[in-house]
This record gives sequence, structure tokens and C-alpha cells, in this order.
Amino acid sequence: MAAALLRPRTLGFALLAVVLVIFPYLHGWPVFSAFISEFRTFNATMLAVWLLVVLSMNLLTGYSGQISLGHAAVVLVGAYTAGVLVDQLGVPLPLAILLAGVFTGIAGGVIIGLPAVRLAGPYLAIATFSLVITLPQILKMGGIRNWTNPSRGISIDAVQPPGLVDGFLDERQWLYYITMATAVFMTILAWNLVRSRIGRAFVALRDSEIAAEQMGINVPLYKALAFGISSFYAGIAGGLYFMVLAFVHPESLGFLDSILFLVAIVVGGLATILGSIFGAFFLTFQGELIDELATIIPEAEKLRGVIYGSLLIVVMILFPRGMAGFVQDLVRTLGRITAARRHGGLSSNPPAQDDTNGESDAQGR
Amino acid sequence: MRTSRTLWLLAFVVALVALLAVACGDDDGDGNGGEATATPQDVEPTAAEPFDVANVPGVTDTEITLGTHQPLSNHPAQVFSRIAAVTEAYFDFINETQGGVHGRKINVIVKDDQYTPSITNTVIRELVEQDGVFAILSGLGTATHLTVVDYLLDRGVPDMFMSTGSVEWVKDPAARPNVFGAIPNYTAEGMILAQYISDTYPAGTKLGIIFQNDEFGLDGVVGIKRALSDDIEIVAEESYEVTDPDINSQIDLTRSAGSDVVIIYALPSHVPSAVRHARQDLDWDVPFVITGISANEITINLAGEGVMEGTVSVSIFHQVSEVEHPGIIAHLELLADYTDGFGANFLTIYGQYIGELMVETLERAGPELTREGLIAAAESITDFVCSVCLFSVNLSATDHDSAQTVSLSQVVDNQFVNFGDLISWEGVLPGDLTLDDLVTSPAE
Repeated sequence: MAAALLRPRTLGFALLAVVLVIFPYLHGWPVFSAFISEFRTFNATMLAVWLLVVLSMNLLTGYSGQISLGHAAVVLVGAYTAGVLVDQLGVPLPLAILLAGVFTGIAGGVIIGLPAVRLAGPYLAIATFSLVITLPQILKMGGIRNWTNPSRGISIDAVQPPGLVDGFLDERQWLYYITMATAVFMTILAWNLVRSRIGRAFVALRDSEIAAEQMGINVPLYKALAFGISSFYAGIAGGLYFMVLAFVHPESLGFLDSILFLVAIVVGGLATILGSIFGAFFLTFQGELIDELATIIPEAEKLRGVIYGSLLIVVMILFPRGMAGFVQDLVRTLGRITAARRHGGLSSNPPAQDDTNGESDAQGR
Repeated sequence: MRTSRTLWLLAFVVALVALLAVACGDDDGDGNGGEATATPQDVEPTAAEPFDVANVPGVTDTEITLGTHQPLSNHPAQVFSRIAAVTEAYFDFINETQGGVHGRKINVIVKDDQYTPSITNTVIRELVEQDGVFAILSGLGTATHLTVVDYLLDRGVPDMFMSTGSVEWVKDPAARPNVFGAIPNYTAEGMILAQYISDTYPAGTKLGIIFQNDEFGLDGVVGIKRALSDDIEIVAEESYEVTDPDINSQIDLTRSAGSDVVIIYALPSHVPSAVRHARQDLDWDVPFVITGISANEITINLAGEGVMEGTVSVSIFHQVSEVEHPGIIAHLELLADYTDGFGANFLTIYGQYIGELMVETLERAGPELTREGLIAAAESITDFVCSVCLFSVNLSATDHDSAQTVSLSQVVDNQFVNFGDLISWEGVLPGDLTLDDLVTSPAE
């Protein structure tokens, strides 16, 4: 037991938990305040939101192999559902976020999932892309205008911490904790999901629909389910997005965001949870990174589209399993070197690998 | 499986303990470490306290740091990306020739938001919370700026002279005391263009309207309908989304509806191809009236030689074509000396106007510069005419709309030329504006 506690993996998770908990206070501490500003708390909060978005994309595209270019629209539906529930019906915000997830999940499963049964590959990508183009127009339609308020958008007062923790936390720290807690919880859920029967069925679907059918997997059901679960995640992410920014507008998320989500899952690593985390980091910091790049290469910030595109190509060629695959390979190689040294050069006994976690399923498609 | 469960349990316990420790630690540390965690509002000096420059974010004894969000990449960048560069150039000019304002040099941090609201959110927080800017100057775009306007209000950051004419911002200064406009609001502009159409074309003229389906276009349409004479019939109202690549099909629809005049509320990224489509593809010589947002030399160049000829719009500045005007001469010198050889156009003039207006506000705010002081200083501006402006800026506690006078303008020989009287609605907010409020006075 004690040995188990001291395993690097355990220590790693413990350290991660501590960092996540103390993070919003770091900017006030003597040494850390030199390089962490208050703004990083907002960064970390958005990182949690983007993590759910990337997970949602990854469940759909990475695990079940269905390409969606319209994911920004699905997230926007979640954000708008939460917004309308709070603004028009006076639903408490946490409940509104949950309902947004459920509503988006059902809508995604039925409205996109069922037609997706008949569409594959590029056709599905085009069909989902149309979502992100049409959604702003739908939100501006006469019948629902009074609810969606498309010209001004829906805004609410910033969330205040409840009385119990008021004084310990300011509103930004409180937002960070609830968003990050939700993201961590749902990441664990996703981790378990992809190792369950359902997750296995998704992977089988992706690798070959015909083979999956032969093995007794109900293809239409699981395709719709993939969209349903993915949309649920996107809906929750949308609800949190609305909560964090206290604002939503028909143009809050558009097709550029959709493309960025796709770049994020490829750069992070398809079909891995670790890859989703890297993808979320990419989404959060890419803007700043490119601004930094512009201080070295003049006008680099004007070539954002070019940078995204070339990054996509470079990653696909050099690291088909994304940053996650790269890191895993690195860890594995290092492990092998240490093991070889320990066994006096005998590499016949490589360290046990955690292949039960399905990370090696990634084909980098 | 058991180890995995233990792991999570462990992680949870560690998290809980750490949370408690941190929460208590912060409580103890509030007395001495409070400054580092305090929000800007907490440290704003109140009237009773003596002025201390250390308490004002973004201001030191030698420097003022401002921030802005602008599209430097993505499609509107080709037209808008130089505005902030010219504003910066003007500040450089002031810093070099006058040593800044009250001994402080003005510095602007320009962040690229790619004209994408989700990115605007991030860059504005970066400016306020990380770079600690004193104020936001002239953030560009309606949908983009909408997402941050309440955040800026919440944080008490002055939101000076934004580059959008959306009615929402300026209609209620009491609700948004930190927000100031810079360009004519779209409703007033729509009314003036509609009045021009009513006055110029005979009864029974058929009007086609093309507008962007957001606050920018819809505010304009409100103005058009409010001022259009009953003798003019609206035969087509075609909308488009800002993400659409062009509005050629909307041109086709207004043509098939039999329009005699077409008014377009669209961005400079859409107007040129639309006019070219009508002139060259359809061989249709319908008169066009366009929003002032798109009335600049870039639009003319993008459309091609002679294509925009005769198009009518509004202007608040002297035109680049007025080469004899001292303000325009000085503007050309500024561009030559402080930029990488930018060509002059309506938007470079606009960039200079923003710079002049901000410098005037800072001058009035005095050496003891605070955020409240800046807002009060802006509200005190009366009869300020910038070197390139047709109008005077008059602001007050109940009027945060800077530009309330326009002239009509028209493309003649591939250049915009102002014509007719100045039309002004000084002090009237867009919600209450009627035709009777429009006052004409002869141009100088």
C-alpha cells in the first residue's frame, strides 16, 4: 500500500491536485507573483471550459471517428440554452448549466446523430459545418428573437461566491473552482467511459463499421449515442462558457472557433484524454504564443491562419498521435533506457505499460 | 482497480486539505499581502484620499499605458488593421514633440482579437488583469466589443471612444458611465441617408435595402425607416451574415424586386464586390447609397477603377482629396514621419482623430490622473474640433456620443468628396432622434 502511494503516477496526480487547488492564489504569493498574474486565473478557468470542448470533440472525432466541423455551434447551443433558462425563466445557474447539457445532448443525438447514421466522412463534415453557418441566423429568427435577444445578446451579473466561502474567495477564484471541479469530474467520467463497453464500441465503429456490425454492435444506436454524449459535454462546456463570461451572443462562437477546435484535437492528440488536455492548453494559449512569435518574426500575428494550417500538416506528418503521442513515446523511451541500464543492458524485460487505458488505440487518423 | 480507487480517494483528500490550508493562509495574509491580490477597484483612490500615482493602474509618473482590441488578422484586417497603427503614430508624435501629456508618454498595447468575440474576451482580460492598462481606447467591432463592455464596466475601466456606432452603447450614459462613442451612431446615419434619398429622388422611387444581420445593420435599418418619406417605397430588404463571403445574391434580389436605388449597410469587406457585381456582371447602373463605415478609399480601390463612381455616403472628416486643407497636409506628414509609409485614407484619418480626442481628454484630466478623472474630463469636452474633423465634439454627463454631425459625401473621380450642408443632431440620443432634430448648417 505504502509502495503504491509512492509510485510516480500517484505522486503525479497528487501534485496535480495540489497545483489545481492552489493555482488561483499563486499570483498573490511572493515568488510566484513575479511570473503569474491575476489574469492567469481567468486563463485557467477558460482552460477548464476548453478542456470540456476538446473532450467533447475527441469523444466524437477521436474515438468514434465522426468528423464534426460544427462543434462551435453545439457549444453555442449549450451557452444559449443556459442563457435563456437563466434570463427568461429564472432558473438557477447551476441547474441551467446541467439542463443545457441535457438539452444539447438530446438535441445533438437526435438532430445531428440520426442524420449522421446516413452520412459518413466528408459528407458529415460538410453537414455539421452547415450548423455553424446557420445557427446565428436561426437565433436571429422572428419567433425566438424575444428570447435570444440577438442584437444585444444575453448578459447576467457576474457570479458571486456563496456566503459560506465568501471572504476566502473572490468571484474569479470561485468561478475557477467550480469550473475546474466540473472539468476534472467530467474528465474522470470520460476516462472511464472510453474504457467501458460504450467506449470500445466507439473505437470499433471508427476502425470499421462493417466489422463492428459483425461483432454485434448496433451501429445506428452507437453513432447517435456518440453524438449525444459528445453534445452533452459540449452543452455543459457551453453553459460554463456562459457562466464564466456572463454573456452570450449569436456570434460569440463561430466557424473560426470550430476550425480551432479541430486543430486543437489533432495537435493535442486524437483519441486520448491526455491529448484533450494538451488540446485545451493549445486553445487557451495559442493566441498569446503567436503574439510572442510576432516579437521574433515581424508580422507573424497576421499569418495566424497560415500558422494553424501548417501546424496541422506538420503535426500530422511528424507526430500523427499529436503532443500526447509524442510525450508517451518519450516517456516509454526513457523508461526503456532506465530499464536497460538497471538490467545491465538486457532489454528483454521492458517495463510494464499501462496499455489497458486505451491510449494506444490512437491511430492518428 | 482497487489501486485506482485509492488513488482518487487520495487525490481528493489532498485537494481538500490543500484547499483548507490555502483558504486559511489567505485569510491570515490579507493584512500584509492584500495589495497583491486586491482588484483595481479596491485600490482606486477615493476623493478624500490624496492622489498617489501608485494607486492608478497603468499610470506612472512618466507613462500612461492604454490598451485596445483590433482585428489584425482574419478578413476585416485588410481594411481595419491600420487604424490603431495611426493612433499609435499620433501618440509617438505627441510623445516626441511635446513629451507626452502632463509629462507622461502615452503607450498603447494593441491586441489582435481576429474580429472573433471569444478571443476579444481573452485579450481584454489580459490587458486589464495582466498588462494593467489604464483604459481601453477605441476597441473595434460591434459583436466583439459587446462581449467585453459589461466586464469593463464591472472592473471600472474607462471604455473610451470605441470604434462602433452601435446605438446600444451610447443610448443610456447613466447605465454605462464608462463608455464613450467615437463615430456617428448607425440609426442617426441611416436617417440622414434616408432623408437624402427622400429629398433627391421623385415620388414613387423604389428602394432596395441590403443590411448585415446584426446590431450594425439593424440599427441602420431602424434609422432608414424612421426618416424615409412615404413617397419612397421599400421593395426589398435583404439581409446577410457577416460570415458570408459576398452579398452578390442580395444584389440580384434587390434588382429583381425592381429597385431604383439601393442602400447598403455592409462592411468594407462586402461593399466593393457587391457594387462591382452590379456594374460589371449585371450591367446595372442603379445608384448606390452606403454606410459611412464603408465609405473610404480602400473600398474604392478594392472595387476597381471607376466602379464606385457616384456612390453616396456620409463623412465626419475632411477628405483625403482636400489636399489644400491644413489638417490633411499635417496628416500626410504624420503618416510620412511616423508610419511605414502608409497611404492616407479615411481610416488613417480616423486613427488620428482617435489619437487627438484621447490626448485632449488626457490634457483635461490634468496631472492627477485617475480613471474617474478621465471620465469626468471626457464629459467636460465642448467645442473640440480635431485637425481633420468637420464637426465639434460636445460631451456631457448625459451625452457620451462624440460625433453628432456629418456631411454627405460622394465618389467623384475615384475619391470621396464632401458635398452639401453639415447635418447635426447635437445632444439628442439615438432613441429619441426624429427628423425634426436634424439641424443643417452650411459647411465652412
